[in-house]
Amino acid sequence: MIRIQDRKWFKAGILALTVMLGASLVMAQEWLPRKWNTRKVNLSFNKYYDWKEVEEALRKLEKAYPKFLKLRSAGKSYEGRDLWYMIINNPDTGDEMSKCAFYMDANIHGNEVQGGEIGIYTIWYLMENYAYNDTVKQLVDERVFYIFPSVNPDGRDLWLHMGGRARSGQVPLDDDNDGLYDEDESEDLDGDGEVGSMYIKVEPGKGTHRLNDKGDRLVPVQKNIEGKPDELGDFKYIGSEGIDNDGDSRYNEDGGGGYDPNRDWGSYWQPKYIQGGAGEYPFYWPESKQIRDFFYTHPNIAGVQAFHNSGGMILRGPGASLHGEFPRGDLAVMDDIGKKGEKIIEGYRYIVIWQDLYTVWGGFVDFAYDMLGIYSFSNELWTSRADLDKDGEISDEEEEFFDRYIDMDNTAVRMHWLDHPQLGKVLIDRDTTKLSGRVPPTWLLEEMCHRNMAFCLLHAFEMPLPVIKKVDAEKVAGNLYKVTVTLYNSRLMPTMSQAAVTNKVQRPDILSIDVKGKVLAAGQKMGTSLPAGIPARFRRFFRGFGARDSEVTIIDQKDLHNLKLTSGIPGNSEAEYQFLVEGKGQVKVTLDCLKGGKHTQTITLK
Amino acid sequence: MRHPSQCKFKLIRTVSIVLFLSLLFLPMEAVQKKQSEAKYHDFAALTQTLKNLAAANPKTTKLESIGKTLQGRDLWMLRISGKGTPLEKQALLIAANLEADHLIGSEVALGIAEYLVEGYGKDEKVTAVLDKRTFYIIPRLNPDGAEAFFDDIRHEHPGNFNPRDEDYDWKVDEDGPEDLNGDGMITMMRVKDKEGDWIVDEKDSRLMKKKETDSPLDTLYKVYTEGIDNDGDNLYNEDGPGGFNVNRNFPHNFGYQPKGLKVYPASELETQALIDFMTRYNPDLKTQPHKNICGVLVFSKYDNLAAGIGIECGTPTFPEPAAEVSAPMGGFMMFRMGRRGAETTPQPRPTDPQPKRSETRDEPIFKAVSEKYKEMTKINSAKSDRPFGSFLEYAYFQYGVPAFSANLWSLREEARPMGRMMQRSDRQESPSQEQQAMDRSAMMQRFMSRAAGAAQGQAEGSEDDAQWLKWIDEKNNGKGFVAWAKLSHKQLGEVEIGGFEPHLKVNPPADQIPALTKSHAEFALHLAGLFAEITLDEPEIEKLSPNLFRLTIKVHNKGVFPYATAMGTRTRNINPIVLQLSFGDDKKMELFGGSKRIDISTLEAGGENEYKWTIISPPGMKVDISLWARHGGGTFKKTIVLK
Repeated sequence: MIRIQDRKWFKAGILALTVMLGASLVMAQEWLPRKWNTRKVNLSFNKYYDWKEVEEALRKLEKAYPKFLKLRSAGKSYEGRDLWYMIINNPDTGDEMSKCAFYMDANIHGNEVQGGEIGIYTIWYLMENYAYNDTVKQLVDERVFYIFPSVNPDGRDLWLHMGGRARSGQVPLDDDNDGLYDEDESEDLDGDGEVGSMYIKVEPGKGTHRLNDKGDRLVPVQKNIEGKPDELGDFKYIGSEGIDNDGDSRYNEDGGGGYDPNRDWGSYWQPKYIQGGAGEYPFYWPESKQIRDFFYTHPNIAGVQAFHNSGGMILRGPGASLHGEFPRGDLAVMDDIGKKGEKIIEGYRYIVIWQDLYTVWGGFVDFAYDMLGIYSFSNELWTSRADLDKDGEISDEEEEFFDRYIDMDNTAVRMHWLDHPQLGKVLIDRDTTKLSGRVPPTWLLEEMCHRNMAFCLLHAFEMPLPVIKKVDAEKVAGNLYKVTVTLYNSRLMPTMSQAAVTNKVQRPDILSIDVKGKVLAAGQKMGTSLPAGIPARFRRFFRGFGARDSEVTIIDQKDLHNLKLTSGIPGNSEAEYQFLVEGKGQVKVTLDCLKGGKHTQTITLK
Repeated sequence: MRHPSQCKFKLIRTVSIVLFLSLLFLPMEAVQKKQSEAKYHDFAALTQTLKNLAAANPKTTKLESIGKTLQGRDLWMLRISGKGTPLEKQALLIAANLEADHLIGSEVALGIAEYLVEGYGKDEKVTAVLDKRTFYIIPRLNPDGAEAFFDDIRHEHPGNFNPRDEDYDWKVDEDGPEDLNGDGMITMMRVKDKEGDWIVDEKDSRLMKKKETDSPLDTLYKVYTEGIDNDGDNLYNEDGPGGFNVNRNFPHNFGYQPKGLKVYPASELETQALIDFMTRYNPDLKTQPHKNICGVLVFSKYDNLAAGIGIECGTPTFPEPAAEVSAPMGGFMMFRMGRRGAETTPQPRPTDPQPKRSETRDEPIFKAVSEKYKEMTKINSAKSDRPFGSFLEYAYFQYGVPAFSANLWSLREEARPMGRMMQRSDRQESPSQEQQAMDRSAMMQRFMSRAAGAAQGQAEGSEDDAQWLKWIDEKNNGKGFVAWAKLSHKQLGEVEIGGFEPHLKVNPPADQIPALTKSHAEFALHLAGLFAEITLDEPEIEKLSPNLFRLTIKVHNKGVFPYATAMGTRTRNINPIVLQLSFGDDKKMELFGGSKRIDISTLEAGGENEYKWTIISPPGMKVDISLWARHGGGTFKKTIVLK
């Protein structure tokens, strides 16, 4: 008997696994010398892509790697943009459903764009390195990827083309309660792709702002300061850049949409008077409804990553405060990945949404975990690099230094005047562009893409990888045989999360035995299977656990030819099942996992 | 003669017609006309009736399909309105038959539609109300499920028959009930079993009741729904065609139990269609066209009209916290604590943020309407469970309008003495029981208590059932209960089949439809007349100096309801009353303090609010005043000249 705690066994197992899995692939693959420039598709990752450019980039990649990549649309956004997603799959190692898939999406909030670039980068990186890099090759061969650069392309384009808030999707909503819908959106009057702040000049004393001493930006006037005369303001704030389209003397008070697409998911959903931004019921908005259906038609998805900004966080659920903590087994899996993530992505903290950030009712990651049983993370991308003295705080001086001497003031908008059709001369105050604050400066974009991709690839690697390790038959008497099936899952995640089991959202794995004859009894051999996520150094505590008169626990199921493994196969573990079979000839054993595919082995009873 | 059910009702009808006429003081000719037509409509008949009604009255009606069911049936909505723009006038929404088996709601809603359409131009009151109000009538929100009422084999079930895996074996609808005794009905089976939980009720041998601790083993029974175990799992009829009960699928106080894939609020097409009708933005009209709904009347199994104390929600049905799942192994705990315990600060578990009962400030609305309802319909009490996930709750708690539900047919005084009547049931369906779903015995429990009609009564209260039997014996000529009769069951051996006929406790005999329709039509008419009515007095202008004016505007609510229920204000789903000034010339005119736009979120019934503006302006300038009260009578515009 080989025990799992034995490290030697582990190595042997992995070796055996590699042989089994990739015999034809690994062996047949010739060694390719890597030249200094092996790039096949030229894409730059120091720029942001609008939806048309995203599509072009994806098409370019698909054309260059037609064997692996398939560009598909999951449906249309409200304004009719396609919800593009890329399938990465190596058809030589099986079809999509036979492998665990990793789902990555971004930009559900229209202004949180940079996750889209991570998606494109990931596709590009995996493809460009497949031929030369064994790690990448293994991932692409073992896994399927579904990559959505944006699940809110309407918001993405609005933000990239005009700026402003654009968090929402673009289904019209009456934000200002006047019976008109989206009737007063901001306008980019000066054509700089930004929505600035408008001020008009008024008589001194009537305004709230004045020019600073240098004369390059407005500052609020100071009053009631002892020993100083009141400052006289001669500029008055009007509103954000734009026209008063509905003539109510308010500016841009009812722009596109006005809801939050990430409060539209079915787990712990709450109406909008409790959870701001919610719709009338879960999946009320067209984009989330279509993504939901994508999940229901892709039960092979075993890992989920969503990208937001900003703050440098790796977030896990629950987002809903009512949820209660995750069960321990699931927590162990997520902690393992999350803690490694803190090392992979410099400066990011691994924290819990409701506890460390704020309560989110009806959020996407809760949907994925609770309603589908899939481990899911949401990263808040980008945290400022201006902490130049590394004391954990960013002072104004540091910020200024960073902007001026590192970023070359590249995100500054100069104060300028423009002619407003309703207000006459209007001053747009000095500001920073949208490419600051919540998104990295373009010269740091590629690093952000890479590190976050690396985190996703770790997550994808740790998705379950179940196999039938071996099948033995032992003659008991006459035609009675004891058939022992050893299943092995070499990765961190179990084939069924505890959430999937508890919430009854995933079909159990099925272990079938096809034999001419009868299965008289079946049992699971205990002591060899451990809960998911126990690090190797703790395994010794469990040695001998479960020892009894018989090591086998009887399985009381109606159909012993098709055993339901009701809690799946634990991570990093083997599980042994025994069948008492009366029969002769060939026995075909099939393991059918929703997340991990079908596997078959045969043995002859003699 | 397709349906055995219709035969039965015809029988009942002929017998009771004489009795009925002699008892009720209604205009004879009206009753006679309706009497001959009184029947339950299947979907085809309902569709035809609605189409005929709409075709014959194109000026007052518009028939729309607000969505389709999974089986492709239309969800009909009939809009009825007199003079004026239907989408601008305040509207009453009447929705019925959300529970598949609640056919009576459908009939009454259809009857109200006929009453209104036929009465317009003839009946003074109907004409007056229709000229001021719009009615949206959705007579059957669950047509797929309702068709079961007309099946050759009748089975009472509230769901919409969407495929659903009710026993978590990842097979769908594989073990439904069967009509074993060939009587065209699914009733109950009882079988002697020492492990059973039931005994024969000593007061009436037709009834079953829960066993006592000292019940002898040979008197014990197991009770099942009629049928065989089709999938060989030792459970009977645990996963038949059933689907989701639409009236438990709405987003307020939604029960996330039992668990499973695709269990979330508004998972069903019917639910989505209704909420979409009420709220969805229409890009062609550039508005949410049906936001003019100011009140909702539902016909469903829940009742808050006879009870008259607002809306009290049933048990909060949030999933159990996942952390309570037992750890896979002992010893694991230690390891976990060592690793992360120290850094996690425990936080108190917050409570469910959704309100569970109607706002105190809204109680007078419910009370007043209830009293009028009792007076008009003579229905003084009704038996009702507390709702969860119901349309009634959605309409009030989330949509924010006054919402009322009548169940039209339940145990009343004539069947049981008032003193024992539960006006508001203290019993609740216990979700905690449902939570143990995978446990075999608990599962049996659940299926039995859920199994429709007869089973429901037997599992929950044999006292109610005794009353129903009394009604059957005294008022229904003994019809409605299938006497227990022996039958040989291929899996259970000798069983007895019997119990209440399906639909008996949910729907009255068809001859009662006309009377119920008439009283509820009058009530609906009354209800639509109660909405808030916001009006504007003639603005007053006071000249303070040659270039300074004071403008005073008084806004009234002349309706019986306040503008916005307290709940509607809280949900912010009811638009505020917007009072807006715009100046003829912004360059010459200036407002001294204040704002040109005032949002009034509430105005009590009979209330009057006064608003004043001081305007610096040369004389002779124009001021446009607009008042917009979407839920209070539309838009008023006035132009005044400062002088």
